[in-house]
Amino acid sequence: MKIDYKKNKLQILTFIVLGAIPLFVDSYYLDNISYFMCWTFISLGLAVIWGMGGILSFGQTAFFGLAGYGFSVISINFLGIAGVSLWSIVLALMLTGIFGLIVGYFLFYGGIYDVFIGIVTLAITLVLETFMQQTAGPEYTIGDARLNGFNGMQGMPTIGFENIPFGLVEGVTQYYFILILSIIILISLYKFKNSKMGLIFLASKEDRDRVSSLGHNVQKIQLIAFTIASLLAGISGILYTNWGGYITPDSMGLVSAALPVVYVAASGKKDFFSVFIGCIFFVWLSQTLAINGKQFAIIVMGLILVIATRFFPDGIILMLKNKLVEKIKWLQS
Amino acid sequence: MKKIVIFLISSFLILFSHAKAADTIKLGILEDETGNFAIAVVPKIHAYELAVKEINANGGVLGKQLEIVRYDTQSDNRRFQEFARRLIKKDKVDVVFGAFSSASRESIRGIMEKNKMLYFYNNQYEGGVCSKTTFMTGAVPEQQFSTLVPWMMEKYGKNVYTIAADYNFGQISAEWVRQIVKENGGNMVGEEFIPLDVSQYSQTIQKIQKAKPDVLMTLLVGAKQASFYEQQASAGLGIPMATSINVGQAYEHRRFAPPALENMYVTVNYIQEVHEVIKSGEFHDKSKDYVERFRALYPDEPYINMESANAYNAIYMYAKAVEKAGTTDTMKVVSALESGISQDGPSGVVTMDPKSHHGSHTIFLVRVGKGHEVTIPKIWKDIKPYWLGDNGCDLANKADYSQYTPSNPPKN
Amino acid sequence: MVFLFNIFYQFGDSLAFLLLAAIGLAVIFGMMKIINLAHGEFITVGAYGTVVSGKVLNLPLPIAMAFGVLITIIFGLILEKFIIRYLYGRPLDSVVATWGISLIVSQSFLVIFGPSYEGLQTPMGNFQLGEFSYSEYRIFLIFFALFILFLLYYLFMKTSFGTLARATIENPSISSSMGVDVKNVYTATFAIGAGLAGLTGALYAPTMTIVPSIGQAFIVSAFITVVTAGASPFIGLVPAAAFLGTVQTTVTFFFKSTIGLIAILCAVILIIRYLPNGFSGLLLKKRSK
Repeated sequence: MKIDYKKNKLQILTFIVLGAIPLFVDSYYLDNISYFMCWTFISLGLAVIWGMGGILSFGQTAFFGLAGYGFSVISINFLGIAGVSLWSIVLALMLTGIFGLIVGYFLFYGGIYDVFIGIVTLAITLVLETFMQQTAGPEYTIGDARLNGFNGMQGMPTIGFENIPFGLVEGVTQYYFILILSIIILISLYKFKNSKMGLIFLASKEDRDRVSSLGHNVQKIQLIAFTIASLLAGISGILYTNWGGYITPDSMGLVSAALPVVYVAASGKKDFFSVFIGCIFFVWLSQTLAINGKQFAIIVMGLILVIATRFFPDGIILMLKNKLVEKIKWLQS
Repeated sequence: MKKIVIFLISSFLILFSHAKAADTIKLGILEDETGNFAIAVVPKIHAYELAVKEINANGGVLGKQLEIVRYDTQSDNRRFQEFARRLIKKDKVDVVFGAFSSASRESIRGIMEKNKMLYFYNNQYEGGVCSKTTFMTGAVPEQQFSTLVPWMMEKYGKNVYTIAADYNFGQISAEWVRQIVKENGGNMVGEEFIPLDVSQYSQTIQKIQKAKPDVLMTLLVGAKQASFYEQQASAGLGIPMATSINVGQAYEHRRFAPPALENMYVTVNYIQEVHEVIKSGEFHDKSKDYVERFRALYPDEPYINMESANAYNAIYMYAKAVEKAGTTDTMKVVSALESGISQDGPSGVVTMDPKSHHGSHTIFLVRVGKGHEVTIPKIWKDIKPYWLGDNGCDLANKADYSQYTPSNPPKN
Repeated sequence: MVFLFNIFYQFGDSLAFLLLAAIGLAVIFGMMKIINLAHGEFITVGAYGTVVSGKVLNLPLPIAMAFGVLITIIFGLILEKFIIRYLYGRPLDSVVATWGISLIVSQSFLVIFGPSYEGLQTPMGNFQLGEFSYSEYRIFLIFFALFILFLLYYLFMKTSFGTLARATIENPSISSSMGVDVKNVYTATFAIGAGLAGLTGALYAPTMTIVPSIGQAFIVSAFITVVTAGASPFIGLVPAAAFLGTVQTTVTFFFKSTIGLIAILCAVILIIRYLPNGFSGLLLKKRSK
């Protein structure tokens, strides 16, 4: 993979800093940062379809939940088999991707566009949440895994190898795994953006009909982008489930569906790196406000969002990043 | 020379701060001060603080003061997960109290158990948690329904209709009702499960009227579902209602315009009206004493509910157990709690059952009248949480970390 | 006869709820294309305005309700002036801003009024018909919802203001070049939308628990009804609400409420797929044939 080192100095610097963090913080802060990073993938997925293609989907959390539950059900059923947590990730992601393909096909080949995509994806997410909430009874058991409805599922194994003392349990291995995964995904997404398919996708945001009349299969590209986004959401779902050892239908509710949208919009949906940093920042911010702000935490969060859209419609983090690069000449090539 | 002085001073400061830290026992509290559950939870938070204040004024525990480290979980499961880890790893507390909904309890029980962190859940719930390091001070279905349902059937008739929230707590509670109705020779003439988001009940009311029950079990949870009561009153439904959920937690009888809750019966393990209704005797004195002390610290508390009594008792039981064990080491405190700790609290004596780690309770049958005034037609003393122990959960002798339900009991 | 009335009542009750949940949003989202995630909060403002004025100032219920509507209009005007007017033409950005507003408002209500407020009693009484008894107020709501919708239809389709509003929103630049004060038209329309949502809150306040999240009970129903109504909301709302209400009531009758909710969501998905212009598109197409 060829990376243009000169143009991406800020990004490289950021990752060097992130890579060095474990040397300076204790395990609580490290696991907390790992937790913040879990949420970046679902946001990046949204940045792909919304930032690049202008498709606002509230369905990212449906894929988040599906992957989380899928991972749990599969790994609980095959507990004890070597490497179970790893290939259940693969299977869960495949399942999520297939579901993403189906939903995407329904949307793009069914002629649904603009705000209607938001409504349809929201409806799908709510259907899943409503259904899952009432699966408390014993009849809702897949193999050995009881779905347990509103109270949520536990007991899934943590990601790792049984015989090798490395695993995404906590601490340094989890942190570096997520960090390296983020770097790989960010680089891949930039490649996608600059690829032919990516450029067509970007163009389709401006004028869908004109792009198709030029002979490009817009629907196919939209479908591919949507599936990529669903897989990214699934990665977040699995990492979160692994971090917390727990998944509930709550993760597919109205609030959960709106959060990625809010983080991505406030960060700067057009730039993947801004979304990555912004997502970490906003999750950190809402947690810090909750610790220190008590009753006013949510009000402050709301104010920040309103101010962001009102004054920084392209995203606060993106705006800050551009200003930083502008001011510090060394960061420009 | 200067360097040596600085070194000495800083070492003293470090030693001093370490020493100071070891002088307190840290109690971690995770409760929803804001969000959907705040109504029923804020009195719990104040009850913890009251108990801690009283114990500290009496010299603390093992000569150390109790210190509260509390986070507002905003009625959000993710906050529970985030702050549980913070309490365990950063604040390094000695014990954790908290959670209202079962979902939030389950979201942290795993990590509590994994880190051998002692955990007290102080809320009524659907029952069934059999966990070596967890203790439950709230009421469970066998305490609330085995008293309520037969009494209602005897007074009003054998035909019972249940409407319940369509999730774990509602479904399991409904299962208990079904079982108890059957055991007492009654008929379930209908059952309806309603999702948590529903706030309009015209269709439900019509279905109930069609079935003509003698008793209506209303196992409804949350503010949206609570709209049922006003709507059934304005439709003139007129059937006696029975529940384990309302009045005792979110004091609906004070918040809804009468006569929405007229002829509702609730089994609670405490409410602040106990000493207003019971004019003399043990329960009068204990309730009055508790409320007076509570209001001295929190004069504006809208309502002192049953969960506050559980929270209050939990702190005292923990303190007693630590004194008995002579240490805050989790497993030693667990053993102390399993040796039969009791607490004489706002509603009388509560005893911790060693087999199931659940508390026994005094159960008050509360009736809400036309103007939402409260009477207490019956009191049951010392109702034990028998189900888990009878069905194979024996934590004093066999460690376990699961939650069971009537259809999935512990296998011996 | 009893059976028929029963059906009418259940169906009408569901229809009224969907209609009233949707009316404010029909103006703000259906007409002005602003995805207003704070719609629930407008309803909350109307509900609290009614209940608080009813209790504190001891106003009779209809006056308290009018007060609730007025407060919501003022609230809407303030929001429009400072935030909303920067979002016209940016439907997807309005998501974030209105979400932020909804957080601020709902939490502020919690801080100011506490987690719960004593409610009002449902007005009117009840009557018996066969083995069922019915709430008179809920029957009133059915007719009132239809009445309000008729008024709105008349206002936006038959009056000059209505035509002006629709034209301006559809094509602000041409309207402005023809001398229309576009800003004022937008403000007035938004205020009407806010006021209608406040009316919903006022009307339902006596039947629900008064908590800061009271508006949340309406928001999903509002969005799905407005979307199903289609491009011309005032023509499409009644058929949309009727259709969705029938689906929900019927499925709940045969299965349970949860399946009813899922059914109504699936119905919306199918409508969007196969009837992209909603019910108003369907009706307009039929009319033009």
